[in-house]
Amino acid sequence: MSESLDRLVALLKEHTPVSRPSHHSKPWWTPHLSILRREYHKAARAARKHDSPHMRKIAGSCKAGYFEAIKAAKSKHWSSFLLTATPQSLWTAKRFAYGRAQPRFPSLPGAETPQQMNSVLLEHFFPAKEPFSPPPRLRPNKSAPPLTTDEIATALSKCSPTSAPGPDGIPYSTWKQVNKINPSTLLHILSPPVLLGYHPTSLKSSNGVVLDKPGKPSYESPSSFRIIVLIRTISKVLERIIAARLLAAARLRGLLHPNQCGSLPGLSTYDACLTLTNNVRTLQRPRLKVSSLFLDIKAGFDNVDNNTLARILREGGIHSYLVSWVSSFLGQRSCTLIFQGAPGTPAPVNVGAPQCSPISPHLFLLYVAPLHFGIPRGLMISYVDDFALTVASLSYRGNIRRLQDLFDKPERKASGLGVSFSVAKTELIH
Amino acid sequence: MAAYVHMSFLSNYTVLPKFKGVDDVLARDISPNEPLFSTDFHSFRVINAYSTNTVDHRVHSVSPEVLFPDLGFPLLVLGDLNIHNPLSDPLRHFSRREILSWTPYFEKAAESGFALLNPPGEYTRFPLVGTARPSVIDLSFPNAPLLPLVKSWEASLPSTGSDHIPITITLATPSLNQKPPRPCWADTDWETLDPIVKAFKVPAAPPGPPPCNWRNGCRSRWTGW
Repeated sequence: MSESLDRLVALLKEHTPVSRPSHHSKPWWTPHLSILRREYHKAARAARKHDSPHMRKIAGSCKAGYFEAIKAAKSKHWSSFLLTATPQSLWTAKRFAYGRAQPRFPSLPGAETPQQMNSVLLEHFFPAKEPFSPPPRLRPNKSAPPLTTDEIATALSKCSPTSAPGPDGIPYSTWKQVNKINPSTLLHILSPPVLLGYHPTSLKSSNGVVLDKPGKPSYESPSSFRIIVLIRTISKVLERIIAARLLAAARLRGLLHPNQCGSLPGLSTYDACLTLTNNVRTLQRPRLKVSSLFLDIKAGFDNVDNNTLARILREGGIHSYLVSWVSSFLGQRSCTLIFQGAPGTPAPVNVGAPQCSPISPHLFLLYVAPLHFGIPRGLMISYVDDFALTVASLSYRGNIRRLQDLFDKPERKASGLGVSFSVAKTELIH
Repeated sequence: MAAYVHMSFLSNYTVLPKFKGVDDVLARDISPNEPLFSTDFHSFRVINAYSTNTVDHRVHSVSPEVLFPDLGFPLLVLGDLNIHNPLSDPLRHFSRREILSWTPYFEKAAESGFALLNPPGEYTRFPLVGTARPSVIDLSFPNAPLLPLVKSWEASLPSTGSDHIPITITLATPSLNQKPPRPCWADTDWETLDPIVKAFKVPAAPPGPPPCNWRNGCRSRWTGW
């Protein structure tokens, strides 16, 4: 599969010209400006040759006219850009108005060379975890439904063409075109990983772009930087396909709680807020005092344990090929950090559920779903890693006692899963 | 002729002895504690020269061979060389004598792998006498090992009272900004690719390896043994 994919990527790159940075450098330029520039240069040459006051005056007026026209063209282009601006082009407008900030070079004490900086940043972003236990042997799984072209087309239709590509640099738009020309190409490339329940190592490499967090008083700590991880777009297509299958199986087997929102079709932020508001107003109607405790799981995605998740899925009755694929997907990943002067060497990392992946929110939801079970329905609602416990009684003191009792259950379960609630982000609202 | 060395280098530099009897050349070897900007080199040399006209006007007081030695480590040659040339001052009209004077220097510099840092037309000397025109005679040449480490050449500092303006040359780790050009995916030649993609065959997946091979493969890939 990897060989075929590499061959296809090489073909695509071979038939794609390299970008010319100068092509769009002056989007305000017009053909009229080219004529004015020609006239100005002609007049300037004539003035140098004849050196008469009259010719110098003509050259001067040509020059003034040319620069005035440039100014007007720039102004007109900016106005027309603003008139046609969409919410998506908001950040482009900001970049035009304020310019692009230069990335800050990490200066970390004790890390003098780029190699040392790379190691410090890797340790910060990907702290060491328990070693990965290898997945079972590769064998085509007869229970795995064969991949279809419709699944690939559906997965591709949800991908934004402007999404940043991973290490191979290929955007979604190219895969969409390849699938349009010959749907069997991607079908044959992506079928083996699905049938074998295996995510190829070549798709697990990623680029980690290190960006400075704006407004920090000092940039001498790795915590002043954040990382954007970019993985190959073809990998994300496969992840979307598996995510759709996994979600359908999890819903069928009741592995997700009805009060879990976010990253699920039809259950957005709006639904979570509306449900919470409705709960509070319903409880307030009989003149009860209502209190909500808001909890946030600390570094949720990073703390998803591969072995624990595999156990949850297996015990929940998920197909073995999906469990095997998830185990393979979460382990043996590598990342190349990108910052100014970075050595650019890939390093093995243990990341939990990678933040860049479309399947990670689903894996996280399945991982933390047990926190909901055991609590009476209607009291707890969650949005991915944010939880809200809502209780009502005749007094706020009674609410606090009830919340303390209720909080014990999810806290014990969370510690069993290797995650914890952030104290700094905990809020109590009466 | 004045040169300033950053404080962090002060304990690590050596002024080389008089340069082959030439009075107007000062050479320093600067050795940072760490390898120079993550390269394999542990030091670099700066040659600062003041070269004046001689009687025959062909060669200045500091010869091209002294200025541009063929060395295998980073070297920066700079100074008031009193050479007018079209690369640094393209708008100037050159006399025959001036052409004869700069040619041997630039030939030797090119032969030894040096590059000129001065941006064309950026003056470095503004004569205090109002009738004389500004010129570019303070030239900077890094050799091939040093060139990738040169980040900027700037003449933006205020005057020190001299008719020559201060010049700042910044060395830094090679920047990632110099990325290779990226493919322009909007311009992919789909007309040519269409039949190729249609004819693209993916071979059938081979049967899975036996468990011991798979484990051995994983172990060797991740542990190296």
